[in-house]
Amino acid sequence: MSSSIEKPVAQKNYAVGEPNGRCRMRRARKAVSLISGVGLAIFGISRRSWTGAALASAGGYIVYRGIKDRTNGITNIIEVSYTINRSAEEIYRFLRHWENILRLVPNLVNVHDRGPGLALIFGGRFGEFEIRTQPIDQRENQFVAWESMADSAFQHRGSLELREAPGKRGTEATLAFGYQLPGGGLGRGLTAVFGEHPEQQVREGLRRLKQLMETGEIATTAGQPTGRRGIKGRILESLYREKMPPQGVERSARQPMIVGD
Amino acid sequence: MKALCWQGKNNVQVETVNDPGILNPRDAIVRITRSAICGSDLHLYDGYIPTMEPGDILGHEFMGEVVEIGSGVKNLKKGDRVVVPFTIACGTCFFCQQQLWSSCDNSNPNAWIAERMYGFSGSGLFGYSHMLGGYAGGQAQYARVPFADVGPIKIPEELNDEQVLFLSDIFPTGYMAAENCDIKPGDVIAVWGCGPVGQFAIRSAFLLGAERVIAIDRFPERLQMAGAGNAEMINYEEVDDVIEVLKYLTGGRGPDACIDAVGMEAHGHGCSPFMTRPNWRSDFLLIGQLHCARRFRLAGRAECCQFRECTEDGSTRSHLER
Repeated sequence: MSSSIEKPVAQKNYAVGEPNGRCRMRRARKAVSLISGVGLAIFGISRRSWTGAALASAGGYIVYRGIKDRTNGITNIIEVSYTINRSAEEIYRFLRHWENILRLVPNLVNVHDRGPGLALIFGGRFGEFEIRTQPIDQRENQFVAWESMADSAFQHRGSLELREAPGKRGTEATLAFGYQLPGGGLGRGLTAVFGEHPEQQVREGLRRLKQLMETGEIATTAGQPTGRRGIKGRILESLYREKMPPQGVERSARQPMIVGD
Repeated sequence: MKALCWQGKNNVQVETVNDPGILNPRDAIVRITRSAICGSDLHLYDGYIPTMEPGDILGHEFMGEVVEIGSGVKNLKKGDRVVVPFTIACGTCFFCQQQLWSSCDNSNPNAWIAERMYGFSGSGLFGYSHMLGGYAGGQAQYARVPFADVGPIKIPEELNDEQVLFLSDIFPTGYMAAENCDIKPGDVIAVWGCGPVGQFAIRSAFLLGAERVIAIDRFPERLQMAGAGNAEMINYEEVDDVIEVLKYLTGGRGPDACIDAVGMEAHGHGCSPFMTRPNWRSDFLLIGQLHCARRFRLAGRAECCQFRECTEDGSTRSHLER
């Protein structure tokens, strides 16, 4: 009898994309290009001649490349794992209907199937914006990975892996999500305060998947009575998801769950 | 409707707010007939619990009459009298299936906050901060009860409200403390603190077969109430050393089990100062008790309890409410 144990094959981590070492290298390269580009530009401008102008624009281009390189990279990675008390087949079947993800992601207001990939329309305090995403890999009942398209407003890469949990406890759903948040520290702070931070939405999204699969509904306090809120409390209502979504959104968020094929 | 709203530290006000409505299929609306104030409402009142916001409706010990049910609730009907447990449980997740209701995975809409702060989230609770669900509480005329097909306990006609109200939180709290003592015939149980939880712990210990219960406090009226429940009484301000008195009362053996029922706000007077201190951290956990999340907390404390059991001599075991 064979005693070999079949180990779960570690999936390629699509959220990370490249190993840490290479990521560090890239950061170093960016720093070098920024410093050398700025230096070259200053040197070129100080020459006050055609050669100088050429050198200055070359420097400017190097800076531009350095900055562009940075904004296209994935800088933040979240990994969340919940055990869902349902079979991988049921979960996979549920997610195959992309309309269902409208109920999962808090600020998602609409999804359009646009030729290659999906257009996800997000709403919030900062207006509506569209994220274009396309599947990059999938394995029936086990794995699905996607990434933003080049023209997307928000660069990200994600994967969801489904694996059977021991002791008939259902399915371990592991979501890895890498993204680049525009706007630096200010962007991070504002999205965090208004409940639009990707990390919060990813955590909530996976938990809502679990809630829907296990209980048939998503736990909510949106629309319950409250007393007099202060200014802070009113601001945080969107963080705590206490506000009812606008009329149009509510309809799509409450559309019946599609579970069949 | 009228509801008691938290408006900041040491400031609660009765305000007129909107009536609650059904939000999810498994919701029910209860017209509240009785509501209690819990010791853990003090933590909110004193501003110890993070993520409270002005306008939050308080109250998690309540009962009433079902006036509206969602389409997914099949086991209740309008007019049923129910006691509502303060932990909101879905009944279908792994923890609910193990009857660990206060660890329910699906009832806290803001689980991500608790996960951030504590690593894991407990279930949603009524009127107990946004971190634990942000649900409007039951110190109001009406309340929305999520997962109403799981939590609420139907009350027969012949029992009146006062007889059953405490099933919502505080009686089970005291009972669970006694249950954790693993009481055997002949056992002597010492209960530190004779507030409401202590009173229920005393009576539960007798219910579970304790031979004697020794109550320790400093307020005469509380000690008298403990005495009315057949407990022996020690006023710790009137004796030099509680441990010596306990030894004297038990033939040198010491109590078989101790229950710490001292409130968080009264910290420093529980049984912990009298015990060996394995480390400062377990001491802290003992005092900083938040009994409103009993089993959830016990999971966190199990390690410290076991450690305590090992380090103390065999006659005294420390068990805590969960």
